[in-house]
Amino acid sequence: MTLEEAYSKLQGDYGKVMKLLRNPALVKKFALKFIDDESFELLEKSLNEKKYTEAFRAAHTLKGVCLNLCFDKLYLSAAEMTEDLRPGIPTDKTEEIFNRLKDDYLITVSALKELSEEL
Amino acid sequence: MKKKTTHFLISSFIIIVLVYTSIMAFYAITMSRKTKNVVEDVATIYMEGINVRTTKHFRSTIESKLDLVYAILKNCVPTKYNNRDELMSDIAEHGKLHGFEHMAFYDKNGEFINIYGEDLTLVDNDSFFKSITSNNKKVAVGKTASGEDIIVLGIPTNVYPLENGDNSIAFVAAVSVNFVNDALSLDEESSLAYSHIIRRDGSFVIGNKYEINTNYFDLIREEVASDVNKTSDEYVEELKNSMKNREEYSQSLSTSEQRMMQLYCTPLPDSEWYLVTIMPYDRLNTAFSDLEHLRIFMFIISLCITLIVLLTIFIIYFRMTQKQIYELDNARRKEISANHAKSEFLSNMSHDIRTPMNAVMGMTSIAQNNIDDKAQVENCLRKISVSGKHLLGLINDVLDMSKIESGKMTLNPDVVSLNEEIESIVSIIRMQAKEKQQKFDVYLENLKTENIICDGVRLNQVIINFLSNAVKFTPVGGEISFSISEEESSKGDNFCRMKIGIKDNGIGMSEDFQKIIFQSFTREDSKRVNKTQGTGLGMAISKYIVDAMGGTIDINSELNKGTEFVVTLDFEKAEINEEEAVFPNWNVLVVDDDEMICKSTVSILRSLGMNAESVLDGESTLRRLEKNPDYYNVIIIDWQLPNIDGIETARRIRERTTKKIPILLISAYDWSDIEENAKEAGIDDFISKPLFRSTIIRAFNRIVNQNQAGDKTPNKKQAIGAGLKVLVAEDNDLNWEIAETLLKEKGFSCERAENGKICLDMLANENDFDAVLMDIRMPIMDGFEATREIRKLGGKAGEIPIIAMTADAFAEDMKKCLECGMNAHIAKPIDIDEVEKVLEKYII
Repeated sequence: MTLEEAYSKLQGDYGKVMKLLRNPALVKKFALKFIDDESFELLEKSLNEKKYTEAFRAAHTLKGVCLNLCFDKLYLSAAEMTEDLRPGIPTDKTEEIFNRLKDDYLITVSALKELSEEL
Repeated sequence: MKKKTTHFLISSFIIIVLVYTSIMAFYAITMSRKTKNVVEDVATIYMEGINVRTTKHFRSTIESKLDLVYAILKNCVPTKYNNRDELMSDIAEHGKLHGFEHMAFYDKNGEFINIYGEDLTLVDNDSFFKSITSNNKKVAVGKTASGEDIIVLGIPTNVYPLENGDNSIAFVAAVSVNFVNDALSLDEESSLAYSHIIRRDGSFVIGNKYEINTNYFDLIREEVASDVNKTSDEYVEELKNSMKNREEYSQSLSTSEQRMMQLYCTPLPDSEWYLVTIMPYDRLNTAFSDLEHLRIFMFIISLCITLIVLLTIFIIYFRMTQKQIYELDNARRKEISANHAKSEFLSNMSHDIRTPMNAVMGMTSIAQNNIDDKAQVENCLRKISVSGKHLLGLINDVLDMSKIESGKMTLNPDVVSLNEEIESIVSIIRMQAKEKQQKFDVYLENLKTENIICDGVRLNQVIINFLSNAVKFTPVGGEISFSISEEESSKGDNFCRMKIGIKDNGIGMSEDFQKIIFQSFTREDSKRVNKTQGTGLGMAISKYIVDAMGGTIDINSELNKGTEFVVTLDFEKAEINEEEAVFPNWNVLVVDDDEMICKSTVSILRSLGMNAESVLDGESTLRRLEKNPDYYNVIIIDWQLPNIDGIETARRIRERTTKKIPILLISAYDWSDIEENAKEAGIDDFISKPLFRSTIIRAFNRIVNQNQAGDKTPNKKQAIGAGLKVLVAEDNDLNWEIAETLLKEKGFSCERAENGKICLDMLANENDFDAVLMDIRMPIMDGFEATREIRKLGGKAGEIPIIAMTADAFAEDMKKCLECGMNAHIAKPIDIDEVEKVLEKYII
């Protein structure tokens, strides 16, 4: 699996990330580091503990990371999550959005893992 | 409504006039009647006063005469004298001295024995005799022998012997009637009233105007007219009765000539006489009626004034009402037309939205059906993207308009390079015009100011809007021109006036439409423009922006001939410390078929310290070079020239000269098409139209650099980052690594702070950083607070450039960043070129 294929699998914008980072090796290096990024875990944990301010920050960080890596699909879910949590209280949609975000996250991570395993 | 108000106003005016007039009339009539009563009362009181006074006066006059007589009698006692003659002459002497006209003794036969004066006879001897014999003094009227009326005073006394031996029974003295008359001033002309004295039978004692022997009662009967109440006879009877009872009598009478008068009768004491005073009302009446006339006159005047004032008030009120009604009507009509325009806009909008939406839907289903045909799908996606962009444009317009309508749109003035502004506009429009194969010309005239203060985005929006319209409404192959000229501004030396002209030879506008072109939601309602897309908001938005900038828009359009818009704006000149470029004293030749461009370019070059000349075509250029091949240091040639074009001219120059003169090609178009050709022909560089001072400086800078350093031009961008230290506040490891890698690539050195608190501490302790890139959402202390705290540090840290780097790209976030004291805001993802640009701006 090539880097470009991995990007298409996780529905990211490979062209854009290449334009920003200019170097496929660099893109790959950072993309793989995403597997170890703890923002998602922090988000999940905070939500479970009902610490919504922290959850908002985690979602926001996740959103920023996705922007930087041009993980467009996950970025959209993270952005939605961020806006949902911005007021600091959960809404009736919070869970639904989180589940969607989780799906996207798992797809992203699995694509990246696939990429890493091929090395 | 108008009719109703008019009707109401007129009828209420009439009612007020009627009520007012009747009140005044009632008042006038009452007053007039009252006046008559008052005149009578006044006359009665006046005459009563006169009569009382006259009576008193009469009495005192008579009594004083009687006293005189008594005094004479006392003085001339018969015993004093030796004989009767002596007595008589002494009495006569005294009598004459005291003004008596006649004196006599009265004997028991009722005969007068004269002492002196004419003989006299009494009118009523019997009553006189009766009084004397009953020992009462008596005043009576008599006649002298010559017929003169005379007043006789008789005092009973028997001390005087008479010739016949008897003693007198009374002493008689007489004075002229005129004396009484004078004393009582009965006939005084100036007096309001005149009086007579009559006897009970109506004969006159003193009758000023009347014959003494006429009867007063007859006179009354003759002169007084019978009235409704009583006949003249009855009045006479009444008077007689009152006289008989010696009572006072007062009556107002009217003469047969309708003249009113008042009669007042009082009995006089010590006599059988009555004082009758007559006062004609004429005089009193004249006084009162003068008053009455004055009152009526004043009343009419005040009535007129009141009516005029009332009428004026009514008219003013009427006009005000009319105006209000008119305005109300107008407002309603405006509302209706606004509603109409809005619903029309909605239907237009739904049409406009539906068109690209249909395209999106249609293309989507085509793409789905041909999912395996890559070319087809790509085609569909491209069309979807175009439609999407168009939809976005529509929505942006609507949002702008709603911002304007809610008053939320404000300008954000900043330093703007007119040069860059025009270049970006021209590049966009050039593309659009090219698509429609239209000729697009740009003219810059007298442009001296390059940097101005204005809201560049909005200015751009306005000009692009006008130009896009020109492209839109001009058929294929038409002509569009865009011109900017600078004039002196009336606002002062710090301002410049820019006249921006946009002209086309398109379909033009009808005069009616020109009047409403700037209203929201209007589009020319004709079949001609139905195929052209648009919201009808662009012009309204442009107009609003130009108004907000304090400018004006003039329209000059003719149907089917074309349209010209002239936007006039006053801009503040921006103070820019542009390093004044000075170039070697080069000889420069400018070749352009447009004389205006030649002129302005030559003047710019001269101001930069060069010798510049210009020619209008390629042939002249070649001829000049033939004469003097080594004279020119730089040649600037327009690409499009008559006969032989710029590239061909360059080629021929290269063929004929050995010296490598730098040749610059002026090109209005994107030169990628001609680049290869041009390079081959020996062109060294390109200058894009329009030729600004800064464009020329840049081009010449390149030549100077090439001359000095050949290809070793240092990369300015790499030089920027070198040696600069950036502090990156970022809590996420991955983001930090990306930032670090990218920054290092550009030559920056950088350090990380995991949160705002650490960032603050680092800056407080060792501060050799040149800038801070600040994430906003961080644990412990967020970017906003960290910035505020840093700004409080003061010193170098207090001024350090802080640039926000965040995943939120909302306008509110940017505003909040700036409010906290940050210098700029960059949205994620990190675009290192942008980061570099911003850092460059704030560090250097």
